[in-house]
Amino acid sequence: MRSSETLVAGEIYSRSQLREQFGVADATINTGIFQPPDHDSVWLFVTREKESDMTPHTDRLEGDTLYWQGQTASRKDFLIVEHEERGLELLVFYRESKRQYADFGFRYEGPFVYRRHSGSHPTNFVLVRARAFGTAAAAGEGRSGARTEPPPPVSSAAPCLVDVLGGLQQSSQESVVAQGALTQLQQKMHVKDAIEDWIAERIQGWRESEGTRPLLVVLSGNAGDGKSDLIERLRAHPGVQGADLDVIADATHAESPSQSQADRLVRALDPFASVPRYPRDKAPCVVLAINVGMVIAFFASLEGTPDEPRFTELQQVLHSRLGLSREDVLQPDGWDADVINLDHRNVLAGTGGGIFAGMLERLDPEAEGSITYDAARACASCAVRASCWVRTNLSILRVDAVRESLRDLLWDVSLAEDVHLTPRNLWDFLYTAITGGAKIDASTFLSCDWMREALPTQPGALTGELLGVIHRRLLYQSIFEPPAEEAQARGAILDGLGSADPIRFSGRATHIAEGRVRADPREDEAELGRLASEADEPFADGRRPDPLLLALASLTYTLDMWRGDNDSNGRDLACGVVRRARVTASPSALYEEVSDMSTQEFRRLLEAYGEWRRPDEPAPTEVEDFWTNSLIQGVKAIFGLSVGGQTYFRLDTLSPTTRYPAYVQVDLPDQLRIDPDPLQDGRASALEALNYVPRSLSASVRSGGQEPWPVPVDLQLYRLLRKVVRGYSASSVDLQAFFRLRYACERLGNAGAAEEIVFRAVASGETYRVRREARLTGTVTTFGAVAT
Amino acid sequence: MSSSHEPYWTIADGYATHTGTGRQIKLMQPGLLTQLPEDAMPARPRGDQKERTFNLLIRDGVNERLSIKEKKLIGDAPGGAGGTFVRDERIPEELRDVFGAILDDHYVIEGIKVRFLFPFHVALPAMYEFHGRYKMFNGKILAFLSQPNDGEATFNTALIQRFYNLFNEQQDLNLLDKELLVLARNTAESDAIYEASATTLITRHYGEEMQVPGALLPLAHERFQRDLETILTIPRLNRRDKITSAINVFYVHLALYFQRLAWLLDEELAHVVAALTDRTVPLDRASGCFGGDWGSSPFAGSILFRVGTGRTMPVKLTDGAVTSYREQNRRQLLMPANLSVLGAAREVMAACGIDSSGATFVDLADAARANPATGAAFEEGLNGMATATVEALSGQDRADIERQIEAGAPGLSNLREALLKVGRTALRRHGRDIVHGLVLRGGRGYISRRGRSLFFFEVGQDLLLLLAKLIVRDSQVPFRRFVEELRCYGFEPQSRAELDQLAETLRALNLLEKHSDAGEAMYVKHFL
Repeated sequence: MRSSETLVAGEIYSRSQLREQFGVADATINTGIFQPPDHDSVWLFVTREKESDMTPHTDRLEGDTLYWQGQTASRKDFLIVEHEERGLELLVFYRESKRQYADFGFRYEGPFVYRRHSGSHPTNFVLVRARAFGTAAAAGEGRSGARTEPPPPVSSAAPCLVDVLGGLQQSSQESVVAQGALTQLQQKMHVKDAIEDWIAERIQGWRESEGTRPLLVVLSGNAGDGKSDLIERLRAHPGVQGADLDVIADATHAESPSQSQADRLVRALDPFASVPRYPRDKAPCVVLAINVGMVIAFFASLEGTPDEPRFTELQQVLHSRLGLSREDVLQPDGWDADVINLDHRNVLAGTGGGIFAGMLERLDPEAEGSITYDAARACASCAVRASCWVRTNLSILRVDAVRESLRDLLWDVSLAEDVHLTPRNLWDFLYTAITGGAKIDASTFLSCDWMREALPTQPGALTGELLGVIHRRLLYQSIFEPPAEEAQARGAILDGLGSADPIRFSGRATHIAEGRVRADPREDEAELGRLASEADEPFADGRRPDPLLLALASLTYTLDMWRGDNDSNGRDLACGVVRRARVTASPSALYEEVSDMSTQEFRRLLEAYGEWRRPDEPAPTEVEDFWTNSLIQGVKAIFGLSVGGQTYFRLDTLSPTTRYPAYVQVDLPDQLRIDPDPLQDGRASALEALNYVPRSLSASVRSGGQEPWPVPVDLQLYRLLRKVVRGYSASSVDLQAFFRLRYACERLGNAGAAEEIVFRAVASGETYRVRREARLTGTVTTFGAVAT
Repeated sequence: MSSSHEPYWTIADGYATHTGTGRQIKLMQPGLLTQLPEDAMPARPRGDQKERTFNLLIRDGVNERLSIKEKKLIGDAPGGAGGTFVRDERIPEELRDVFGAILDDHYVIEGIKVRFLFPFHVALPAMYEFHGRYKMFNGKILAFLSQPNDGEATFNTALIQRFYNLFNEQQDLNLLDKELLVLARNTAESDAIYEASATTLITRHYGEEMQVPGALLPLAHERFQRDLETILTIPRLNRRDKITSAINVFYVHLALYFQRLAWLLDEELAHVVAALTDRTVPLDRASGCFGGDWGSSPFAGSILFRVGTGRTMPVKLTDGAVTSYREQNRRQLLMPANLSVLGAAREVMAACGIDSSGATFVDLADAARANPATGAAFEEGLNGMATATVEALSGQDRADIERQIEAGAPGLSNLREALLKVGRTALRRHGRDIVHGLVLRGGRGYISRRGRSLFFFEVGQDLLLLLAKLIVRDSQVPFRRFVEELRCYGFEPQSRAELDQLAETLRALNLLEKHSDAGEAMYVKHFL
């Protein structure tokens, strides 16, 4: 049903009148945008002059055009942008001021259609009166019930490649999945992974077992992990929907202005309270998307309220499953819970390269149905294609070696820089890597129009300045450093990749190659040509090398362009050699030099470690090797003191000793352990579906307390230990980054009841020993000097 | 003490007797803290070596104890010369000096002109007494801070006992510890088994009936108990770390107690004097000093600190860490006088027939305002005390007090001025010196210095590690809430940049985690 069928254009309607006329009980009619239940209509209430209690948006109706700002949170923007695809009419109720009409009424202006929008939070919309736009949605025709036809496109050109890619940005509306509304782009961006089926099967299994225990499925994770997306997929999954299913897609959201987030969660989680307040006929399955911080905040908000004791057990279960507390809580009797922490999803691992590989497939300009397919087809006939780095970068991304190398680099970033990779930040990274960023300079935004205007049709006509603009935005350069001097915020991934820049780690071969290209750019011609061939693209008579890369290869002969006044292009070209080696795995001599072998070793170790599930199972060989050859030897070298061929550890007593520090021998294999990853125990199937790979090894150090100290071995610690066992002497500066290791290992001397203590006289360097010795007459304590 | 009405007091032999109640007050206050409000301060301490306080905390918990001079064991010179440290017959003769020097290095605290044994096990303070007069707290302070117990007017004996058990047990001692105990027993010729107990401590100081003294700052006592309990129940700490942390909790809390008490007394007295001078001034602000909750206390956030990074950093006179130290110091100097005024004023009010046990300045002012006759008697009594206190001083000092009284200044401020005149030289010893003795210097304290006179608040890594554990315990709290909790203790980063530095230091200590909630948020979580 359409509301316009019973409304008269030009009439004044107050909200209370509309409420009565349409039987609306929903309080959200008091907001600016409202969709009445069971209507294919969206009502927009617009007031030009805002009162002090109203959100100060800039809205105005000029003739047939309405300039209107959406909600600050932009939650309902999709209803406006996609109203035609969704078969919704937009009805505008307008007034100049709050008191213009009696009973705070509005003049009903009739149906409008979406024309365009810009910005976000709030989004600036331009809507035009349907009659004026000449569509079937005009007032009279609209009443006939015919579906509104889409307005003619603003431009007859194919979608702009830069605009299409813009949807991948973290700041884009497309990066947030709205409840019940996946956009076309979001559909295309989706990469299926196993966790979706795993949860669906879990719910189906629960339903088939006809159990009476409520089931709680918690989807947790950081922003951008894909919780909302997963929820929407589950909603559409066959066999999941049902009357017994409650889905809380956004735990930070309340259902009415008078309700708080906590109120809503208290109600939704009632089946899992020790004493439920709202009995149900049938046990429900509640699927709840909630991030870790919100879990903490929710239970903190219950402190001191009557609900606190009701949810104690739930808190213990969730905190323990999310790693927020140390206690390992067993499953409660009355209900079941599965906590799926999407933080544990590894987007780089899994069949076929995991989610990241799938994302690259979705970007493939030659794959029909991909995000870029339609726009990229138009590029073939674009006059400035041979200067367009965006299309070239897409082609480079099709090269298998580049994909593999990029995946390795992201592993580096994720392990070394502690960057959490999510689908959202990966899409954002890919956007920036492909386009070079949204801006050309401080005042110029990147667009296809700008490219068509600013770039020459023939690369030979490029100026030195434009050459620099283009070359710095080619993938192998842009992933390592910002293309413009004025540094823009590039996000954690690109910042992390910046520190993996091979220029920083260059060795002998790298310097030679760099120097040669700097002296004579032609040295690089062959490599650019090779990359051009690998990044080829379809052409009328077959495939051809990438035109931009080919042009760059030929331009290496134009020395002036590369050397110019400040030689920045020449420097970029020279840097590009080693960076290309890192990204494209060629030339192999350079690639070996700039590859980080320790990351790869550590990845292999983590993968092997991830297979070790239980402490009573033998540890994988790789883990055993690491324990004996790196961890024990490394700790010995860093914290031990060699006396007479034996290693001793500092024994601290209660008063600060300055003249005769004490040392004891420690049975390191006994005090220094590696245990299986605690996450693996018991919840292996969900973790498998998440392609989970541990990010660190769970080591522990015993130093005299009842419990050992947990010391995670991450990539940085792994690297340090490897260096130390090869002879590097770790300084206190090195150890600053490993406070927990230092704290635990400095206490190793207190680990057990040592039968011998040695003392080193600081002034003389002499060593003494007190020792308990077994004699025929019994145990005695002896004290003497030690020959060193 | 003369007016147009019938006098409220009759004076004879240095005492004033209330004409209505017949109760007497001594007029001349001989010095600071002679009228001690025991719910605020259980003793009349002076600054001294903090380690000695710790010795007495344990010794006072032992029932049958010996009084052998420590000198007999540790000697009277560095290296243990003169004591049995260097005469252990189990050691080859040529190595006895070295062995003694090792024991000395490990177990003897060297102070300024003093040296004493670290009480790592109960047997040591039970058998040995340190040499010389000691002026700071004894074990009574532990009993004092361990009440009230969970809101009840009793002592938290379980906590004290758990603390004592750390020192009673022997199984986690290392080989050298054990050897020292053997030597100490041999020297003392004692093979008795010593144990410290909560009951012994409490009955020693508060009698067989264990009468609680009450607490002017009950929340500070409760937080001390909670924090000590937190440390004693950490399963990953070994014996040494547990003792070190427990000691530090005690020192930091005791110092903070002094600072809190000084700050609030001065704040409250200033508001009350203003209200007594001008009756239109309400007492609301003064009521918040001892009546508010932990977070809204005027003391919250009054210690502006910077984070110690281990590197030398310049300090400016305008830094919050310096200026707030100065204000704290000013109030600390006034504390003995303010505390004495409170004690005396309670006595005057009691003599007027109003129950004033546990009363604050606000309570006293309320009572004085409620009944004009009581108010006048109260004023007269205090002024009489002020006059008598300065009687033996120079004419100028006497004239100052007389002038104040004639000008109609409230008796509370007159008495404080009088006490400051007689006790000015002792102010530092009873306040600032104690705080400095407890927390000046070192990574575990929070007062640092440059040169001889520039002091400032600086929280080092060790103390931060401890405070983080005390605040977050086994959970994790948002960074913002962590900062609020620090504020409740009194600590506040001196600037926005320092707040960032605090976060950075916590991150370096592996105490900061990131989880997303409505926005990206940092959480403090402890690995202990």
